[in-house]
Amino acid sequence: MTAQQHSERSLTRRNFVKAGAIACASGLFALNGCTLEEVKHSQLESDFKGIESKQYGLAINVSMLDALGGQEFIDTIIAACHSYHNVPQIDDPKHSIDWIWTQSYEEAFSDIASTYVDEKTASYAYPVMCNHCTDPQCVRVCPTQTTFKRPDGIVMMDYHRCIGCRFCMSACPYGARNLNFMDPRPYVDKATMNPGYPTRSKGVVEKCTLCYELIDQGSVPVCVQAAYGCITFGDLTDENSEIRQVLAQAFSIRRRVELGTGPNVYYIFDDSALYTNAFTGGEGTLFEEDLLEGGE
Amino acid sequence: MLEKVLKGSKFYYGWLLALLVLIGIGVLAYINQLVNGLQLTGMSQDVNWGLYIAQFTFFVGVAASGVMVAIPLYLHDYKEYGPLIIFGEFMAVAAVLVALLNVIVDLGYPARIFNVVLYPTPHSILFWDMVVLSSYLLVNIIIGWTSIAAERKGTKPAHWVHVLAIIAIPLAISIHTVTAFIYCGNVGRPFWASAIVACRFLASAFAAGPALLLLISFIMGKFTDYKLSDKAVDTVAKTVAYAIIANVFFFMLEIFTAFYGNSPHHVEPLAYILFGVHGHNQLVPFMWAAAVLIAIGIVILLVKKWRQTRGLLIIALLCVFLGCWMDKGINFVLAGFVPNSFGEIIDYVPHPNEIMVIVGTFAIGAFVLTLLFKVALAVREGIAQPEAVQKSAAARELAEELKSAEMEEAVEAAKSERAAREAEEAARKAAEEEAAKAAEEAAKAAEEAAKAAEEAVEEGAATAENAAENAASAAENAGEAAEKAPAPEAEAAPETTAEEAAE
Repeated sequence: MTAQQHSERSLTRRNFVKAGAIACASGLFALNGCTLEEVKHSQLESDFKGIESKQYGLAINVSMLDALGGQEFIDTIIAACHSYHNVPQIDDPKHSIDWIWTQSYEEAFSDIASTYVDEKTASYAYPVMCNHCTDPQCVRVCPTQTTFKRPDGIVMMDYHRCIGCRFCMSACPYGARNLNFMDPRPYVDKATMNPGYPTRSKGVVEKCTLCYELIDQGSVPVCVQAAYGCITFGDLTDENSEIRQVLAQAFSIRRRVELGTGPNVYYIFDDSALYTNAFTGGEGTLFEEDLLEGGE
Repeated sequence: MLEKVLKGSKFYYGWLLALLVLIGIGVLAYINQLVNGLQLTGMSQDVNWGLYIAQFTFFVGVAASGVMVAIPLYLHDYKEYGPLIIFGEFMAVAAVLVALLNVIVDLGYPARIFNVVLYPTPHSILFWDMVVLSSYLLVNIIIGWTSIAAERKGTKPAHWVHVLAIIAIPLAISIHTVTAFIYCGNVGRPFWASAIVACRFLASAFAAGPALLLLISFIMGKFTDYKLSDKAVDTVAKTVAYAIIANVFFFMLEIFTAFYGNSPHHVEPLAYILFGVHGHNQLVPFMWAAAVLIAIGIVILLVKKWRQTRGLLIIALLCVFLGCWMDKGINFVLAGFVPNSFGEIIDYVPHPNEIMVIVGTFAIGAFVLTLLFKVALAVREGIAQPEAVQKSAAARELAEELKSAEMEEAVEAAKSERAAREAEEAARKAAEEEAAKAAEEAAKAAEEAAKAAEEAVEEGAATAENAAENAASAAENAGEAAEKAPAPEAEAAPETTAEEAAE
């Protein structure tokens, strides 16, 4: 048998590798039809169709919050949020996790604070949280797209993808992100735990998600429900939305605007509602009993 | 080639064992961290990166510094660096490994690390860091390994290895630049958000890395035949000098911009490390220690006479290396979190567990470095032996033994005239038994050995080494003469081995 005949009849190494490569490629091509990727993607697109190019935001009326009890009242809002989202209650300030908490004027607005600011403004407690930025730093730096921006403007987290690199925490200019330095579950009160919301695991980052799950059901965020009108929620791109009406009528500021992230939590200073009786109460019904008790 | 790592001196094994113990401690500490979470670090919600990421940053720099040897050699054909390049490449491999390990131990959820590959995200700098670091690691392993394999075969590396070595140059620059981008893209952290960061990183890397390479070369020279030419040492030292001065210059630019401009966001982190702010001054000692160390280093390196004095050069290199480490391996990352989003200053107090983990990662790096350097040195030594020695396995082993054997043994053996006479007799006996020519040679060799021994007795311990070497070469001759020379016993005295070889 000549060499020529030999190479024609038998499987040389080169031919074997070639055939293998072709088989693998065709196999991958065939398998491609089996993936769920396409289905998932189209599903997402249709889900988001109705909420495209929105930018949800919050307008927090700090004057009204103060009138309703200041820090004490805000603490009930914080408690409502934290218990609804099973946020662990860790006392050590180095490891504590907060989705919403308060800071002083000087701390929250260090760039515009002044020694001679009026006493009222300086004395208010300012609830701070994720600003659901228009151009979020955290989304830009995340190496796994764990945190992403929904078409409705919410900056979302996927707790099941997060690798815990904390790049987002370094990038966030608002200190809105917290890492689970330990297993958070022992720190969630079993009695008040919300079985409808997932707990997180050790080593992942979490933050306020603007209650996307309530918004998707047509409701409003928990803090808005618990604030009895002191916090207004809505689409900032819609000029007829309630939040735009509120913002159009009062002076408002945002945190660290100069960084260009486009924060979407506005702080308004307007206690006219107290005198005009325009204060109508929150949209939610979740905390009506609290309202009756707290209103006295 | 890998089998070369198995054979070494007692010190070599002791060193590896010590590293293994440290690695074991590090692994246990890391398991502790895996179980209990990152609370076992000094990190907090406000200072969310700590010593791990700082070590990552520093060692990416050490890895990148390999180009300071590669550029003169590959781009300017500076032949003095020929013997050094392989160590530069292997040091880069170990340094990238330490850097990557420090990223992995830093992750809160390390089991998901492959999400970075599964969901590639080009707009994240960490994604690019993974790309360039893994490329650089791979490229250096390939270049280093193929070069040393070619050297063993007595050939030149293939052309594509040279091409790869040139590709590695911009890649080295890129790994540290991308690492700098991790920091300087954060608009909310004024200490980091500066265009000078990448320049400063590269400058301090090109100082600290070659300094470490020289220090390791000196240590290797102490234990092996490895020798760098004085010219090569001085050129590396000059590189270190230029780079560290550039680093200081870049830091001064930052200082001027911050303090003259006086923007509070810019000033505060610098004031924090230079003087302390509101009673928070834990990084101040590191800042000034680094400043003093680097100043000492610069002065020594600038004065030619001092730079060329080995002892002073070692001090200068140590100063530069430690100074750069304090600057980049501690202060740079931690000061970036000052102040936090609310103008507060949160101190970072390292946890003992995280220090053990870091020491463990260093030990892994040192372990890999030792093995790679051992391979390179062993291959070089194998080539350096004369051909005649290589032909006779017995004689070669004897020569090696004599080199490394304890001096006392050699002296004692040399003192023993009786042993020498016995060797002579044995050689004569062998001469009778063997073919005439071979026997004569063996006898000559034995005589030489005896002479050497006598000389040693006369001149005392100081010249004993010489005598032992003479005896060794005599034994080599004897080994060649007797074709089927049996392998001498490891701890035999020179005369008795000569006798055996003759037989």
